[in-house]
Amino acid sequence: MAQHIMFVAEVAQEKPLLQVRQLSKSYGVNKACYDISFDLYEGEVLGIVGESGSGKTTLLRLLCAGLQADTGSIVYRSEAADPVEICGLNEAKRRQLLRSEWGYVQQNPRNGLRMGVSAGANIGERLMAVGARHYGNIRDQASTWLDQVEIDRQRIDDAPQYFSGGMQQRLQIARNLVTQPRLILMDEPTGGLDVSVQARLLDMLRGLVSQLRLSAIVVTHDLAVARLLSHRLLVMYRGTVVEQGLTDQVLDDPQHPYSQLLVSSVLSP
Amino acid sequence: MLSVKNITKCFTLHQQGGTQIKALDAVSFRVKKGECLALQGPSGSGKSTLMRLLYGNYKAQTGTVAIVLPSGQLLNLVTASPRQIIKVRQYTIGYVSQFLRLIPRVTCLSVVMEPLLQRGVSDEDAEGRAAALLARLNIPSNLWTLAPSTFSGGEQQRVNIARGFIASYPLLLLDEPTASLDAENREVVIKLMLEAKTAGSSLVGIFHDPQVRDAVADQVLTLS
Repeated sequence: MAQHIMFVAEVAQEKPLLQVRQLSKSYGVNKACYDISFDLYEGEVLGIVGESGSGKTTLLRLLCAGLQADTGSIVYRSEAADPVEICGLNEAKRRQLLRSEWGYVQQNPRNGLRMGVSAGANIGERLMAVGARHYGNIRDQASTWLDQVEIDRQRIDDAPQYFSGGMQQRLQIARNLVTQPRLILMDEPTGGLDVSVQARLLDMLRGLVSQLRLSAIVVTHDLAVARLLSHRLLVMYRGTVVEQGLTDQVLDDPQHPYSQLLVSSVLSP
Repeated sequence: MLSVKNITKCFTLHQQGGTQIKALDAVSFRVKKGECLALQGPSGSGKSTLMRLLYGNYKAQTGTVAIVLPSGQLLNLVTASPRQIIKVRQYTIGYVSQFLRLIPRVTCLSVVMEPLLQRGVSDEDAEGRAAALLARLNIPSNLWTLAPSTFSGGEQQRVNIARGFIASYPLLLLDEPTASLDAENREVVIKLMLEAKTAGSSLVGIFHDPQVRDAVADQVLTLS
């Protein structure tokens, strides 16, 4: 009888939020990203790990169309409209998408914030970009978000140039999440932060992702961060994805020689 | 509930000259609803490897691990997609590992509540159930709102057990759940396991303590 066992095929017929197929990008003869394919579903966090120069950031920039891919396709299933092809999207539409349904957290918060204007304005700017006009409401929301990312409300009128690196990173996250995006791309969100600040940021991100049912793609070279935040993992090496799967399976039972090297190279305190 | 056929697991260490280590060779067994299987064998015989395979944490080369989903359908864990495994872990298979994985700043109560929250139980309800279980496992209430990193080994293990038992799973995997517990707490854990069996859960466990094994196991599988 055991021969006649029928197994279920897939989790209910859910469609992916983001569908990436055969994405490639070269700089001259250098293949920065080559033949990359994956799906991302709603409420899911995908980690991308690999050494520096493996193409992680290039991939992230291709995904938000900040860089033009040579070949391949990225289909985003937007909330309101029909599925959108991101490759070759015109600039106006791309900006509209990045403001409303997507967020991008830069590795260096100075690139993702306006350093000269107040923290409140940094958060409020994105709200205004999607149509908010009432000053009181905007300020209230900005205050609420400062609470969420554990920045003292009293600092709402201070410019982020007077903030510490960890605070700037948290402010950048608040600025990105205030418009309730569905997808957020993060490039080394904890890079350059000392460990106590990192723990605080990770704890906060974990909470926000599950609370808001966000989908996220997190690029990191820190495997502990990847384990904590992501459901699934892509391992990149020299521009290609050498392994992908369930986060703990990839980290505990890596199959590819490079993944094994990566996992075995980590010092644990 | 669980049917394992001809499971083989071989590790290839690419960074160490491609050394092959055969951990499991054609292992087969079945566990019925409400039954407990104890895994036995000297250390290095593949007990923990087998547990991890059953949780989808390790990848098997050949064989099938068939598990009955709440819907009544069967799923083969060896070929299941990552998303299927995540879902299975949420509702079908629980795992009490030997050591608690510590996350900075996350309190004892949150660690225990998490499986319930993932199933959509309200905060209040989850917290009530977590508190009751922690009390039953003799964790002093002044520790509940602290992060368990400073707890003793036995306390951490009991927090881990509370996390494993807070939600009911049709299949529960237990890796030496009583290893660092005193006699009194061991009794509590034995009771929890027996209650889970009575409620219809199947258990697979590694129990070095013969007293615990005799109290809960219906069959024993010896690996070599």
